[in-house]
Amino acid sequence: MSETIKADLELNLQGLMCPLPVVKISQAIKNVPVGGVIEATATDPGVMADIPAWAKSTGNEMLKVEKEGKVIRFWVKRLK
Amino acid sequence: MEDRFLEFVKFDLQIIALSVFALLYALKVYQLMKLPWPREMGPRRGSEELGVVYSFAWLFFPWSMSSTTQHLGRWVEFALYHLGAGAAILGTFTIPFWPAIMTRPVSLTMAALVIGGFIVGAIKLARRIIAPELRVVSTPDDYFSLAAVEVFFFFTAMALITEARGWMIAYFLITAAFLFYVPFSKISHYVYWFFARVFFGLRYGRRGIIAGKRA
Amino acid sequence: MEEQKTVVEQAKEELEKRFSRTLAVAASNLCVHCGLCVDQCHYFVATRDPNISPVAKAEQVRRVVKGEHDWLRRIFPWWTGAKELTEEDLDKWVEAAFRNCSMCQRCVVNCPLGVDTPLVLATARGVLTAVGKAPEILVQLADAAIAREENLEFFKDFYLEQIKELEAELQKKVGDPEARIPVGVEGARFLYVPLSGAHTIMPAAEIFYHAGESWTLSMFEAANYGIFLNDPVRSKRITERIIREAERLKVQEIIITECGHAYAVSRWEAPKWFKDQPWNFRVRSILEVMDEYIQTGRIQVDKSRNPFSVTYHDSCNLGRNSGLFDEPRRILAACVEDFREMTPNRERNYCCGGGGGLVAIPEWQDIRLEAGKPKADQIRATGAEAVVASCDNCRHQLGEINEHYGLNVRVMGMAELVANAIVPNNGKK
Repeated sequence: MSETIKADLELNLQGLMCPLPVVKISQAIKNVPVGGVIEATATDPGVMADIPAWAKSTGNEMLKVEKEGKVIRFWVKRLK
Repeated sequence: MEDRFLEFVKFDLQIIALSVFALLYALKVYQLMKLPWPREMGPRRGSEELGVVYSFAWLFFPWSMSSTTQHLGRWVEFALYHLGAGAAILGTFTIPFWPAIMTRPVSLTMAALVIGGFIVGAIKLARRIIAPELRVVSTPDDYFSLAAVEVFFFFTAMALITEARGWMIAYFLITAAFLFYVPFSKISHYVYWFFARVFFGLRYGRRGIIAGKRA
Repeated sequence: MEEQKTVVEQAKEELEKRFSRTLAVAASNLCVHCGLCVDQCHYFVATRDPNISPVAKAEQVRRVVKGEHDWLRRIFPWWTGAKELTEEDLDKWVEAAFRNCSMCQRCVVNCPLGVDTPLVLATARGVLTAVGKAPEILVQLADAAIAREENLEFFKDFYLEQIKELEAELQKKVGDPEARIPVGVEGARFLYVPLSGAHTIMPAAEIFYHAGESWTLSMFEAANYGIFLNDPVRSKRITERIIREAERLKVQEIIITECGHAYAVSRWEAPKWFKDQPWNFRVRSILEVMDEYIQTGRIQVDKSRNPFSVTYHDSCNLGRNSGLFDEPRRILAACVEDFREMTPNRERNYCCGGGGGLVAIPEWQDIRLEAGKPKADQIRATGAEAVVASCDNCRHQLGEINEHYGLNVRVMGMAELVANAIVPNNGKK
């Protein structure tokens, strides 16, 4: 499944203190070109909610979410 | 007849100046009272009343704040300066309105307090000129107010010590000028101070911060 | 067609909207520029830079307020420093209010006059937010929290699945396949509001399990970055999600996880925003709950299970802003063998340097670490092996200053420490 989307940058958001997951993805998105994709992994339940919410409120696109055991994988596309 | 002028500066001028002063303060307070006051609403953890008492009491106990604990000398300066100011202001009332109390020992004690204030004022002025952390925040009013208080202290002390007509006239003229200036300057801090201590006491008292024991 | 307002005009309007009695006093001639606040600020203590003392920071904003309200502003504005607002001022305010102040309030409790410098600087934060000059990441964090509610259906299943993973961990840890991390339980006594990290759920779940507590986990996180923007609209919306959830589930209490600002917001600020629709549940910190469990014997703890020396960092928002001083100390007295106070402490404690939203702003990491020096010195002086902080922002900052200053301490949360100390098989009622 995951090989269908090519990520420009991979990001590990596991086990971070508040508010680092959002801070890290917000920083990382500046390092991919518009149209580029970040693949992020997380295990904390709140991050499942935070990353899609962040993508929505910043006008980026949540391409896909996938669960592999304990780890959740997100693909976020930079739109602007 | 020649004391007409002294009488004028001692009574009429003081009353005029005090009336203007009071009117301007009333206006200040009115302007403040007109503004919205966002009160604390969270359920109380401590006592607002006790908070306000503590808030005002802190003034008298230098160990209640680390700033005055660390700089005890500054607290002593504060105490001496304000005692001097208190004595000088008191003189403007007692000399004209209660001359009977102004015996020689009383006058000299008041003069001593005023001289104490004068010395501290000189230190304050020097510090304001020298210390970089004060220089960056100082305005012309900061220097002028300090200098003006020094002049006021000087003439008060001279009037109290000599009790001479010339010094008395100068003292009352300066007092009147001072009363006109104070409401526009930082010397008016004590009006706001009253409000600030109430706000502080209500908030920090209600939230259970200042009335607790210290580890 | 209405003419477009300039940034300066918008800022002035916003400043006027916020001109309350408390601000009028704080921005008046009340401050005599005595300088006693200067070395009470961790920024100044660390940098000795006279331009970032509390009075110097507040003065930048105060002069503009005086430019609008001081009596001499029309004749001799320069006399009291009063000035007309410019866009350059606003850019400088970003530094003064967002970068160089963590809103710790240490200057307020040390000001002989009671000048509320954080109020002046928070007002600047609000104005800057209104004109779009606030740090972007703080706005993103606040907006993401709001979007989280709108996005509920999207993440709900994943969230619940992740909670199930944690529940399995809990069952293993306590050795009870019946142990639960309940979500959305109507009529529970507590609605526990965590942060996004599992570390804010697991120790609490373990403690609640041993206490036999009736609780349910919130779908939302406690953090409220709207407060760091001093944006009452965003802050209110973020808090409202939790209040609505609490009302829907008919709980008796909202329990806020170990998060300083979230507690201060829900306990002290939110009641002002909802004064027309007051709620009928209590708001407490998990610290108060743990303290109650220990004092009433609802959980048994054994301090020999934490056999290392511990010091406690009073988070500014929990301590100086909320009065939670005795609760953490009672917990520590029960749960650790060797507790060492740092000096100064309680309402005199130094900020760790990470407050006011600063931990969220990577661009300002340098000043944040520099301003953390007084805290690093305090910790080092205790010689403790671990430092406990009941706030995620503080813990993150303490972790960084631990590394930066080579303190070699373990940074822990209080719930983690209590969970360590719990005597198992006792609590399940």
